[in-house]
Formats: sequence, C-alpha cells, structure tokens
Amino acid sequence: MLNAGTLPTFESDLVLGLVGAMSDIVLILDVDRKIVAAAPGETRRSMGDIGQFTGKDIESTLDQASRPKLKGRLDTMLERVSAGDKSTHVWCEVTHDLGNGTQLPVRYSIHWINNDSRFLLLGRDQRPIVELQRQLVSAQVALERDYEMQREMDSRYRMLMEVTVDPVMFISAHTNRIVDLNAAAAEILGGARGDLSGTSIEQEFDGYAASEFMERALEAGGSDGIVRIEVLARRSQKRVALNIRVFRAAGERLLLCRLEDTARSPAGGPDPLGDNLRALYAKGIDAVVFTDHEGTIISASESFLNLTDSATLAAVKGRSMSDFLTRGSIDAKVLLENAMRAGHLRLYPTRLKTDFDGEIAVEISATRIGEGPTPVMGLVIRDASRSEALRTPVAGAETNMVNVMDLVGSASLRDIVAETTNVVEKLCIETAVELTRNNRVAAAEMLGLSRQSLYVKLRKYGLLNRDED
Amino acid sequence: MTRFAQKEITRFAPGEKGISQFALQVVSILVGDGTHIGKPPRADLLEQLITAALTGDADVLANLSVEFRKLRIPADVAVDTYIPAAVERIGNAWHNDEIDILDATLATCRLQNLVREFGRAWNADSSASNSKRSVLMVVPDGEQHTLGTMIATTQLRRLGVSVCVQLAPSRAALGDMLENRRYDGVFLSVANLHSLEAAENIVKTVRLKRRSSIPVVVGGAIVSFNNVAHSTIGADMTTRNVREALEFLGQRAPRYATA
Repeated sequence: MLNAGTLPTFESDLVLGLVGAMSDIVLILDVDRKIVAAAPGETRRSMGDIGQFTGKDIESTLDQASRPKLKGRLDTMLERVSAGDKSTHVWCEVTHDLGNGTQLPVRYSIHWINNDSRFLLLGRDQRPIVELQRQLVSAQVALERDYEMQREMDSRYRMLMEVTVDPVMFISAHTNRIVDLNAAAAEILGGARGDLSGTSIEQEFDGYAASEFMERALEAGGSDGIVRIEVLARRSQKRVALNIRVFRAAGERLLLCRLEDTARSPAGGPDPLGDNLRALYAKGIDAVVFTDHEGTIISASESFLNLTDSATLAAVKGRSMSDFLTRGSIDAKVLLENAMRAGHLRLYPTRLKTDFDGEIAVEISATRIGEGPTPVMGLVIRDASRSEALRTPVAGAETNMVNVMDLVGSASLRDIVAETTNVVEKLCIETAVELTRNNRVAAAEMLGLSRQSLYVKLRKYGLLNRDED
Repeated sequence: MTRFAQKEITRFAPGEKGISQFALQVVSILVGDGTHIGKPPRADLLEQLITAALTGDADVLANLSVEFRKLRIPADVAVDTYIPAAVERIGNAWHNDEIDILDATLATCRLQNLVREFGRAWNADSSASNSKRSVLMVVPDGEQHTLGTMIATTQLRRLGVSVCVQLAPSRAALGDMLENRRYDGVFLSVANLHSLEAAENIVKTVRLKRRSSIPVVVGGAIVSFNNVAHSTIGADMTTRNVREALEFLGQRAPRYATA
C-alpha cells in the first residue's frame, strides 16, 4: 500500500487520466447511492451505453444477486469512514444488467471522496476473466471426463487380464521387456505377475539373444500376421511357444504374445511341491515377503501388495521393509536381527502402513533362509486386525463398562487417573521392552525417552532384574 | 438412592486386574482418537491446504503431506474433512471479494486434482471386489465445478459401489447409458440454482427411459436451499449424505442389488 508522503501531489487532470487508464468503468455515487456520473475508461472493449446509468440508483442497474452484495460493501465503507478510516477501499464484484439480456460483470474498487462526500467506484471489466474461468471449468470437466473414461477402460483391461484363461503377454519391442502378462502366462513362465512385469526377455527366456528374438518377432508373419517362436522359460524350465502379433499403441511397438506350454521340462518333470508352493505364494491369504539380510524387499506376494495398498510389485521391490512398518527402522531392526540370530522369530506384533497413510495391525513371523553372512529372510505377515476382531469376546464392551462402574466411586477421580496413567505407562514400557527383545536403547528410542528416563521408569515399575538394580 | 449405596463398594488395589482392563479401555480410546474420523480439521493444516490450493506451491503441499503422515491422518479423512472445509473457505473468500473468480476456480481445480490423486486407491470395479451396487452419478450442464461430485464419488467407491460419472451429458448420451446399462440408482449432483432446469430435464430423461423403476436422488449444495425439495426437480429424495442415499436405494430397488 502507498503511504501518504511517498508520492508527490498530483494535478487533477493527471489524476483523471490515471483513473481513466486504470479502469474500464468509472462511477461516482452520492451518499444515497445514486449514480452522479458514469463513464467508460480508456478501454478498447465496448462497454455498452454506460452513460444511461447516470441519475439512476446503482442497485437498479445490477442483477438480483449483486444488489445486497454492493449494498453491504457500501455500508461497510460508510462505517469505516465514520470510524475515521478514510484511506482504505473495499472490493466488490457485481453484474450490471444492461437490458436485452446483456450482462456486464465488473470488479469495483470502492473509494470514499471525503471532500465531496461521494463514492468513487473504479471498475474492471470482468468479461475476459469470466470467459477464462469458463474455459478453465470446461477444461477441468473434460479432464475429469477423460479420467473417468480411462478408469473405465482400466477396469475392463484389468478384468480381462485377471480372468482370461489364455496365457497372454505384452513385450515392448523398444526395451525388450515384458510390459504386462496375465496370471495364466505368469504360471507358465514360473513366476508371479508382479515379478515378471518389467523383466527383460533375455532374463526370462533361453534360446535367443534379445536382438535375435526381436528380429524374428518383427518379421512379417504368416497370412494371419502371427509369428511363432519357441523358447525355454528360465524360471519354469518349460518349453513355451510364443504366438506373436505386432501392433502399435501410442507410438510404441508392442508384441502381443499368446503362450503355449508345448512340453514339460525334459529334466525336471512334474514338481507338485514347487507348483503348490508357488500357488500358495500367489494366492495365499497371508502375505509373504522375501528380503535380503538388510530388509530390502526381493519379492512380495499379491497379499502384501493388497495389505499395503501398493499398485505393483515394482512399487515395493528394492524398498526397505522399514518403509512399511509404522515404527520404521526400529521395527525392521528388531525383526531381522532376532531372526538372524535365532533362525526365526514368531508372531511379532506390529502395524503395517500403506502408501495411502492407512495402518493395519499385523503379526509377522520371520525365518532366516540359508546360511552365511547374507541370508535371505522370509516373512509371513498376517492381518491381525481380523483375528483381533474374531478373538475379542462380544461381551467385551459390557465387561469394560462394569469395570468402570466398579471403579467410579471406589476412589477419588484423581487417584483413578493417577493409577490408570501408571498402568498405561507400565504397559507401554513392558510392550516396548518385549518388542525390542529387551534392547534398552531401541526400547527408549521407540518410547521417545532418554535411556536414563527409561531406567528410572523400569525401576519404578519393578521391571529391572536384581543384578541390574 | 444411588447405585453405589445399594451395593458394597469394592476398594481397588493398585495393579488390580480391573484397573488394567480399564487402562486398556483408555488405550483403545486413545488409539481411536488417532483416526481423526469425524473430527473438525486442524486449523493449521487447513490453512496450509488453502495456501497450497491458492498458490499451487508444491513445497507447501509436500510439507502438508508430511504433516498428514506424522499425525496419522488418512487419505479418506483428507478428502472427506479437509478438502470440503478448504473449498468452503475459498468459496467464502470469493463471495467476500477477497479473491477473484479466477483464483477461486484455480484453487478448486487444484483441490480436485488432489481428490483424484487420493481416489486412485479406491476402486470398486474389479473381479475381486464385491461391488454391491452400481450408481450413475450425473452433473447437469452449467455447474461451476465438479469437486463436490468427485468427493461423493470417491466416498461411494470406498463403500464398494461401482460408480459411472457423467459430467454434463447430452440427452442422447444419457438416454443411451440408461438403455444399455443397468444401475441401481441415479445420483444427481447439483450445486447451483441456475442448473435446476438442466437437473429437471435429466430427471425427465431418466423417467422416460426407465419409467419410474430407477430411484433418482439429488445431492449437492442445492439441498441446502430452503425452497428446493426433491419434488422441485422431480426426484425421489434429496440428501447430502451418500450413506443415506445408498440406504434409500436399498429400500427402493433391492431387485437390482447383485452380490
């Protein structure tokens, strides 16, 4: 805001010129809200017959919705003036009704001319702004419409990939990587859908170098446009025939491959346990995650993706398990260190956090797989919120109420609160000590206490061994 | 006489089991409080959200996102509580001429993008989900923005309802949808008095195509106007609560419900 004294005194002609240059419409009102003068500014846009406003009550020139609004603003201005504040202005956006259905939206700054006891209204034609706003609204609606349409198409595509029995797979001709595949194709290749998406064909198939494979795939096919290539799937050791059709989507050349399981592996033969384990991993209700010894996720089952609201395996692979635990690295450290040391850790209670800030109570069992300094860790994660709900007796709430009724009146409120606080504190400390397998540093960190404060509290609640005391 | 006078009061001893259970109850209440569901938005976070919406400042939004995570405010609370509160404040600021219509529209668009980002997680359209109902959500032509509609849509999707959104559809397109697809209800989202006529025409099209077999529920800001009842538009019900609307569908059209 400009302060008095920062600018020189202007001549009246200059002021008029400035007002005209800055405004599209200038109105002067007397205290009774009658328009004393109305003139267009130096605008290139046609403002209609503004002169017709002169002599009219301003409210009669406005549409219904604008009348109370302008009245309110003028009242506010007068209140400020009577309170001695004559320097400020107020803004007001109104719509003039020019007759014949023509409307003129104007944003006024309202000023008080003290010498004449009149209002000066400097208006900006809002038609370009309103037009811009309409275009913005239309663009937003178009965007939402496109998004909804895409959502519908996504649902159809997802459904198609979920339920199609024919094994199908898309490969990018540019990157030589698998773009997507359905469950039937994943089963033939011997991996989970999420694991296989994004992997290179060289990694998955034996028999051809990627360039050779692609050269053959892009050859003109038979009369039906289909090229048939036989490969050996590395994971499943199955001989697979790929019936390839090349097409373009949004500029990208893609290979749509229909897979045929031509024969069992010559060496392997049927492997019921392997097949069953894979099926359990793919369809099991409890989540299974394999990590390296530092907790970096190597692979995760579909159930884990569901529990953590993760869209694809790619979204979790390579991330630390601590990203998904509410207590972060403390949880991961306790979990993995104990399993590393003892070979396994049973039913570790904690909470998983999802990518959308949700939380879910879980129980995790961890098993060390393999020897050596860098073993793989296998985690089985069970949604405990469901089992808690199943285990909680129906009468729990009633029992709690009876307990409260027994308590109230048996001691003063202050005593009850103090004792409750102690119990809660003790419970939390006991839980932290248990969760960290008696690692006092980790327990203190988990509770947000200093080590010294934790010792004081452990002593207070008799949680220290005698030799520690 | 009080309840306590009629029985012998048991004095509690420190560490007694009753106290532990009581403490567990306290803990569960504390845990419950962390959900933020049904609570008014925190003033400081709401200010940040409004600033992010008005300025488009990515840093403010990133900070806000961190705060939401820290306070365990989930995405559904952000969409159901914070975004509507922010829109109301922005609407009031425009009404009071503190910001112009372009700023208000831009801010609303930014909030709508946020709703869409949050909404990606909510999907009732897969073979695994048990979509119990399907709803046609229609916005009549002439509405200034569709943010309220999209919030209601995300709420429905979260409840497992399969929603088809039609923004300002032509009469022919709407007729086509009603003839070739089956919905348990038509939800009409109306905020503006100027859209009343368009809304009425939509109801007429619905009645014409499906006679009276499909319930039409009107929602949106229009419900708050005193002189606008569902009968004004020709609908069967007005409500701003999606659960109430779904309950109404349950009473009116159980034959369409599919497991």
